[in-house]
Amino acid sequence: MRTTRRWRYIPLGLWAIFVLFPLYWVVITAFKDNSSIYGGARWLPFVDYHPNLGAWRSILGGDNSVLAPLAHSLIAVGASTFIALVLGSMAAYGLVRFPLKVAWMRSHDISFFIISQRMMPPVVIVMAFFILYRHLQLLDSLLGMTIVYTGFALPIVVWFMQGYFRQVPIELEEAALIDGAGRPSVFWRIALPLTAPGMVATFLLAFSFSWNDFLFAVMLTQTKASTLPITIAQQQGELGTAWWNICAISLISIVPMVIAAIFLQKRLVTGLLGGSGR
Amino acid sequence: MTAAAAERQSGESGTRSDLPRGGLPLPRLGRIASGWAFVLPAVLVLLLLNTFPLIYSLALSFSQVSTDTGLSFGHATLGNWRILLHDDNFWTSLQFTAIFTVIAVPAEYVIGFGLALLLRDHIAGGGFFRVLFVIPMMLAPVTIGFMWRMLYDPSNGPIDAVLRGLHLGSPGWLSGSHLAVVSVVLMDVWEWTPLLFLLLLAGLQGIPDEVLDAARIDGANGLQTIMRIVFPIVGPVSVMAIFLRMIDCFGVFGQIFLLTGGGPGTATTSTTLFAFFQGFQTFNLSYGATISLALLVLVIAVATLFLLIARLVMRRVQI
Repeated sequence: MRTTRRWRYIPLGLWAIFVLFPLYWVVITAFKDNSSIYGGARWLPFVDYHPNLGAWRSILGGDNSVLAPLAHSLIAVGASTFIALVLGSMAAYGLVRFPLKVAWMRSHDISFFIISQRMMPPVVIVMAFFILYRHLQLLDSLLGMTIVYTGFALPIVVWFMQGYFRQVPIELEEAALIDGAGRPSVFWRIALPLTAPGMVATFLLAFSFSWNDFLFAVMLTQTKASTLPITIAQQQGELGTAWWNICAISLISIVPMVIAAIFLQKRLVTGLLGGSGR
Repeated sequence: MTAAAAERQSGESGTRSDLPRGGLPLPRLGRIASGWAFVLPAVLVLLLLNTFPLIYSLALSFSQVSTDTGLSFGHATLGNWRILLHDDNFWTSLQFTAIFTVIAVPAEYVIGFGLALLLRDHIAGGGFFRVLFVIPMMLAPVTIGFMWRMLYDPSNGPIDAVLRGLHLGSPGWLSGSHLAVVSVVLMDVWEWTPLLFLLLLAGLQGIPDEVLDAARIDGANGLQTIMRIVFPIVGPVSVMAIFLRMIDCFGVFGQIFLLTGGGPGTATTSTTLFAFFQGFQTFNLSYGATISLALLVLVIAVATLFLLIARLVMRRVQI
């Protein structure tokens, strides 16, 4: 099956164009202004319109500065993903290595309980969070968003990390135990470092889910903790939509995701596939 | 004697055969206790952040809580559920969600499978295509919604500019209620085919070359190979991938909110969107919670049914 079949490049090329064109449109629109957006489609910078940096000036320090929302996103999403990664890795390790039992539930039932949280449409709990946060005065706070996103990311982390821990040879851990290492240090010093590449992939994927989240952010934040997706949505106002700003902010939020995609492409799959089987 | 030595001794005295797979030689009590020390924090966090809000939502749906009543619980009532059953908008939103899922997921599966077949073998530029094809699923739904609104724009968008150039006129991608559904599905295909592609590619790459070569030598043609060998092997991956996509489709929100706002009329109002409108634009939180719980019940029912059918089909395939 090593023969190169040239015809493959036709469907692959077509799909590549389908994937790339919308991205291209976002990139060129980020350099447009009022005059080059309206009055028909403009395809090529310098050829049929004059690109300008108006959008970038406006979002990087102007009236529509994205620096604060960017910081909110980084803090709330970064902190929550980190907490979820620590708690989730511990749980995944415990579930993979110990035969737990509570009432009728065994390890794989507990693991199913955790992963099944992913099945719940987020809108189910967001109403409750709105009221609870209102009472606890956590609305529009970074702490509140960090808490929500921790719960959001945790099931995915457990799911993925189980797959990675299963691949760690148990002999290494046994050897360390026999040499007198305690359980916590076997976890922190041996098992966890061995899953490092998987942890990176898991972190990036969980990060991307919260990073892109719109539902929680739109309901639970206003200004003090508004995240990038909210800022993008806010560019659509009563005075018209600032398409150039939307595209420029989108590009800022896309960059970490594209880097993640390049890293993830292989690792992601191991996690998705490895964590589900037992 | 140190604790470590005690641990070692008891560890060595246990026979390995009666240990569960993956279990380590440790005193039984210590093993379970330290296992819980690992698992408990995550379980408690989830009970607090997912299970408790879920129960709270349930309580909301049996009460009358809105900003008008100062967010306090009133008497228990079945009113919300009764209203829901007779709410045409709810059923319309379910119908849209179902149609959307039923068209989008199979389309994504077929395309994703095709792309994965094309990229299974090492070909020049394969790495480039693989990375490129994954990018859409990493973008924010908000970005994707706006992106497609620009593309579909009748006067300034590129799609209609091309159609006008070909004298085909403007179909009104987002203004006709049937076409708007198609437009939303197309956007979803753009966004989520990557996930199916990625998972199926991994599944396909797990099939040893020898198996496919043997099939060819035995005279199987391409279609037979795919139907008899490839499908049964990637079956489990397919089930999981479709399952994941299905669940996410039921919760679709951000992209549609920004592409069509649920319109024209209610043509593209997904159930999540409907719950959002009820809960946060009219601030009837109880009703919003009721709608979302009905959605959850439906997701669980469909998911269970899907897994049951998948299990039956897979058994047949394996024979």
